[in-house]
Order: sequence, then structure tokens, then C-alpha cells
Amino acid sequence: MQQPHPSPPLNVQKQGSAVVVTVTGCGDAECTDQIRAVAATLVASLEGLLVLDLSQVRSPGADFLGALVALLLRVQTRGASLKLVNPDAELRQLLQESRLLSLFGIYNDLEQALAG
Amino acid sequence: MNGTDAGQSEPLTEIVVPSKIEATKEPEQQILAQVARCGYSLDAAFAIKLALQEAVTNAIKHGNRNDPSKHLTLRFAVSPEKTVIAVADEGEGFHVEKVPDPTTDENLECPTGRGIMLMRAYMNNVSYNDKGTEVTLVKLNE
Repeated sequence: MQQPHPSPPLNVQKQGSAVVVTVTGCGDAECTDQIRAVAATLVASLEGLLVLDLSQVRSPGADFLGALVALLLRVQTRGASLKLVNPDAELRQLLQESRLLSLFGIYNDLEQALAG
Repeated sequence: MNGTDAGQSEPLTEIVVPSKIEATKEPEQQILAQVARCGYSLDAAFAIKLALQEAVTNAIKHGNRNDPSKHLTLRFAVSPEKTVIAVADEGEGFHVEKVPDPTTDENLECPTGRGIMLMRAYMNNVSYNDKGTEVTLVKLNE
């Protein structure tokens, strides 16, 4: 079996009752590992809003989209909500082609996401 | 290693690599460098890179079932008119028509199965051999 990719440490901040995670990574595997790490470590204690800042994500693919969907389902199961901030044009296009824009709240900046 | 393909007028360059993502990066760079030299738009180059990575991921995960002792065969030809890339695995194959459409309402929340859809969305043509062990991607330089 292949070795798992080493996952970069999560950049997590509390903003009031919201948890903000800045996702980093280049390439589908690295980006996806970050989302899976969020699902594994943060969702269980989540109480309200989870915000993913995606402005530093580069070159994601189908696995990343799948991990986002899986995370969304886990967050919703807890009665919490998930918002995405500032995906680049390529990621927005991926979300659109996949018809996933309608599932996620997508915001241009963090202030909008926290206020919306 | 060079070879030719019956359905392809340009000669195809063939590279065989171990079934690991890292091993596919060098041929990926080689293809993308040729794409850049042939004057494709940034959007087209992005599409080719995305589709190639999805094809490789599917071949490693679903075809070769993450077995690094297996191999991938990449064959490609990049010209100013079009880019053709074929990715073959050593797996048992599959029937592409049986893969659920992830964009339908009932499948929208399914966490898997978007790779083929993305390849089709970004390339001009995506086809499989009868066994389902080789995908061929075509992007026109429009």
C-alpha cells in the first residue's frame, strides 16, 4: 500500500463562536489531507460555524471536492454549518462543474463569512 | 520509449512508471512543458493538467488498487492542434457506463466519483478501451 502523505499542521483560529481554518496545500493529495485532518480533529467539538479559508489552496481535484462534501455532511450532522472563503477561480470552476456551488456557502472574504 | 497508436496520426511517446503519484510528476511536467511550447491557453493547460491528474489518480487508486509494484503506462502526443494522452493501468478494468453521475441530485452529496466527470467537463473527448483499463484524453487547442 502507498504511504500516506504527511499532512501540514492545521492553521486554526477561534473567532467568537466560529472556528476558522486556513487550508494550505498544492495538489489534490495535500489539499485533501488538510480537509480530512479538519474532519478528524475539529468537527467533534464544533459548536456553531466552521469556516474554511481556501485562498491558499492550489490545484485541487476530485478527491478534494469529495473531502469537502464529506466534511460538510459531518458538520451538518452535528447541527453546525460550514462556509468556504475565497476559493480561487480554478476551484470555483471545479465547484461549478460539479454542481457543488449550491451545497456550500461561498464568501469572498472572512468578514463576509462571519457576518453572513 | 516511443510507439504509435492506430487511432492517432501523431506518434505517441510512451513512458512506463511505477504506480505512485510521485512517479507520474516527471511525465506530467514533460507533457505540460510541451503544452506551453505549443501555445495553448492557460485555461487549456489547466484543463490538461487537471484531467491528467484525475486519470492518473483513478489508475493508481481504482485500477492498480494502490499497489506500487504495478505500473502505469502513459502515452502522449502534444501538437499545436491537439493534445492526446492515454493512461493505462494493470487492473481488472471497469464499465464506465456503470459509474454513477455525481452531478445528479441523488448523488450530489456522495463524497466520491467526481474524477471521470471532471475529465469529461474539461477535455474535448474522454474515451475508454473496452476493458476499462485505459483512458484516452483529447484536448483541442482552440
